[in-house]
Amino acid sequence: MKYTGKKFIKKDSLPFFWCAGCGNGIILACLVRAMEENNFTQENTVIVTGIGCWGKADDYLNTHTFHGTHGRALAIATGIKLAKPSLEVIVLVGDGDGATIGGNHLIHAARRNMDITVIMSNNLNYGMTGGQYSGTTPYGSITSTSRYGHGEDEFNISELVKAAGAAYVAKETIANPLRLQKFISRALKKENGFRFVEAMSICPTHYGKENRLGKAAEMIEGLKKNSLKIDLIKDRRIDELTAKIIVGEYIDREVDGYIKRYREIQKKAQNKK
Amino acid sequence: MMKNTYEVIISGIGGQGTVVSGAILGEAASSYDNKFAVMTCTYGTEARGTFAKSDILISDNFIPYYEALNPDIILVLSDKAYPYIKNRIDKETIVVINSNEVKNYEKILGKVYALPLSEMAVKVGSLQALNMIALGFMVGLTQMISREALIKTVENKYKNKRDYLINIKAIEEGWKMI
Amino acid sequence: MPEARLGKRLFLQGNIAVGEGAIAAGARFFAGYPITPSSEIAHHAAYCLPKVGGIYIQMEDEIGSISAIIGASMAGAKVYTATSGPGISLMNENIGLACMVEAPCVLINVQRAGPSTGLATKPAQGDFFQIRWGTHGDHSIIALSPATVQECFDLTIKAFNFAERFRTPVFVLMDEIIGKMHETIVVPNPQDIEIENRKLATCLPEEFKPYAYNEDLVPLFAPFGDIRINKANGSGHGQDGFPDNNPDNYDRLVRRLNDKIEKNKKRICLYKTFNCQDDTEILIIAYGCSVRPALAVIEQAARYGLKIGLLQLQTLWPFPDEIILKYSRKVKKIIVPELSLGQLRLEITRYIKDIPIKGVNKVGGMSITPEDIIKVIKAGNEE
Repeated sequence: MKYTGKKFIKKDSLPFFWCAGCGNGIILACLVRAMEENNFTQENTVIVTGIGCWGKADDYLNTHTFHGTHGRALAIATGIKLAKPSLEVIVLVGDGDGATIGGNHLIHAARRNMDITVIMSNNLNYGMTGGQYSGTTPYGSITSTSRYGHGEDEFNISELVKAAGAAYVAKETIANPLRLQKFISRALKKENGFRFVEAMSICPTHYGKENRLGKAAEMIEGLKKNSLKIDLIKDRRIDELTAKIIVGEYIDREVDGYIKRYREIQKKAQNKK
Repeated sequence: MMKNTYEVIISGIGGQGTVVSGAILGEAASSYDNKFAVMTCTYGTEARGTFAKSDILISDNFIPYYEALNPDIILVLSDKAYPYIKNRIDKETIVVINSNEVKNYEKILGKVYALPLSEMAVKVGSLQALNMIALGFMVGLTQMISREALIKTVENKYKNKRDYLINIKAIEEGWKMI
Repeated sequence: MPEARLGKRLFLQGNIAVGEGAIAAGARFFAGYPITPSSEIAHHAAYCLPKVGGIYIQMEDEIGSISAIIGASMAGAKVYTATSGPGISLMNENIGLACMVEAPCVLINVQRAGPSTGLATKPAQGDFFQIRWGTHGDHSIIALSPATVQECFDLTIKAFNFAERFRTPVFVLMDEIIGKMHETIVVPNPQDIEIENRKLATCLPEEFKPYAYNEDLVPLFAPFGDIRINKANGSGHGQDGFPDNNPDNYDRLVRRLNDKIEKNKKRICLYKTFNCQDDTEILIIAYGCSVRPALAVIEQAARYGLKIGLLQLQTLWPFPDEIILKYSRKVKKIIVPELSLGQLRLEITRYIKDIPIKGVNKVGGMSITPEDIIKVIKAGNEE
């Protein structure tokens, strides 16, 4: 592989604290390679994390980092980017952090088109606290807090972020790391607006075990089997799409981005007597 | 004799400019007369239509307390306001009534000056100017601030020439009534 | 333009004076969420900050607001937010985050009557303990409280200076009366305003540790984007900012976060005294709006034949226990007027055991009057 991204990894922090079979290592590898591909540097990059398994990613990174509170990474990142627009700000959140407790920050950051990139690791449950259901846990799933099958429907989080107005939204599973890296790289390359990449991951320790989805290898196989490219779905019947993971680029549009908009506001204010 | 501290209450309902009028007195005293002023306002949750009042205190020295405990002057712009301020009037209190709006008041409580403020304001060119007529009158009567300070503040506040001229005229009209 | 106002005698609202003070102190980033009775501070920021190249952003809630200012602070900006008690309740978790990552920030709380939504337009002083102990865990905090519009300006500048100097959140504890009140203020010339900025790291990048211990107890700062890599971390961390759950390390970290403020009490505790003499018999201790009726009482004290002094606390936290002890040494009685059921009084009783302490307490949303205080003084004398 052309890019290793190794220069962003703090070697003495390894090995990862994540469970065997966890998808986070794959996503992190895709991220640092995409960062290298886009000529990011330690100095010009700030990685903002929340709390959760994926929120531990900053432990392995030697860029500027902010390890904040549960659900608030996006709001913290908003402040960082606005205060110093020359920085590349990347936010790493899980489905609990980003789609559940921090859901309001997510849709508003997308609506406002804050010029930041979000990589969401979606493993369908809260891994770190013991496998409870989150805002992306599918209906009927068994988790430590849905012993009789989950009674709620899940968010299609990529659709939600797209509807909120984001400049770029893509989704790919960890079963296809090359495409995942490509989407992350495209998100990082985009100059303006809110960029969101949903990485469908696995949690063999909790979600996989509770729902009898097998070991990591089988779960990854499952991701592959259930993936359906977004450009193919228009020919499918609705019932063929249930339980499918619709992968691909949900949207890629040109927007001003909030930084550009606010610079215009500053100009207007300064021209006013 | 000039008093050291003047305590003024401007009462009416929300939207009648009780805050703006008080702020003009306070700014005139602070910025142009080198005096001290303090103003607190009472208002309901809704901005308009309910009882509203401003307490403005003006003095040569720092003013310890921010409410008019012994008001020297009370301006009443609305019938709705009178019941709220009635118990604050003693025999020395100057009570300025907008006689076009306030019908139910006691004519022998305090030193009452009933002026047709609304009518006068329309003649000056804008009903909005009725506060300025009242200010002109109250300042003329008490000299709590200087005439120059009042005029400079209005000049500073109303950059639009028409508004400025109407408000200056209103002050003059009020002043004439003393 | 805010600059045009400098060096002038003005008639300003307390909330606006806070905003002017913030900009004069060099603040260039505000994130907030509207709430009565603090909103004028947001209006002022939204109008003035873009004029001076700064940023105003209205976040989706107060949690987002404090998160954004903490992020901006770590990127090097001087930051502030303004809210009321309900907003502080929402911000509390991340006030702890600001303590932990040592992000300088100024939090303005214009108190209104609680609990809950309470009376949105009515004053109170019920957040005295909330701002001290609202966030979880052992931590120290600084809080200043103005009693005049002049102090709204002056103490806001001090708040920024303390925030920067000690890398900590600093509260400006206002109340509806002081925030909404208009008063004469003399805005000083810029050259007469003392400004303090956080101390920046100057070492080689490879030597830099974001949470390095030094004699000062306040780590040297490198903003995001610096060649020295900053790792802000709200979880247990070592001097390098990476996770460290070692009990000795964590014990040392929490103690340092407390000590950097508590050991600088002498510098941080600001106060004023009025008529405090050797023979003062009754000492009024007050802060914020309750100072004003007390001042009126002092002015009239002679009329009642009483020897009354006033100790105005401008710094509430860290608690000025030594100052209170000093001025109460010879008095026979302490009176504490406040718009709460006795929060400040309770804290004073931790230090003063042998002098009667009477409260003048109102929680209905109305101001304390000079008469309210006189009544309590007289009632005590008849006992």
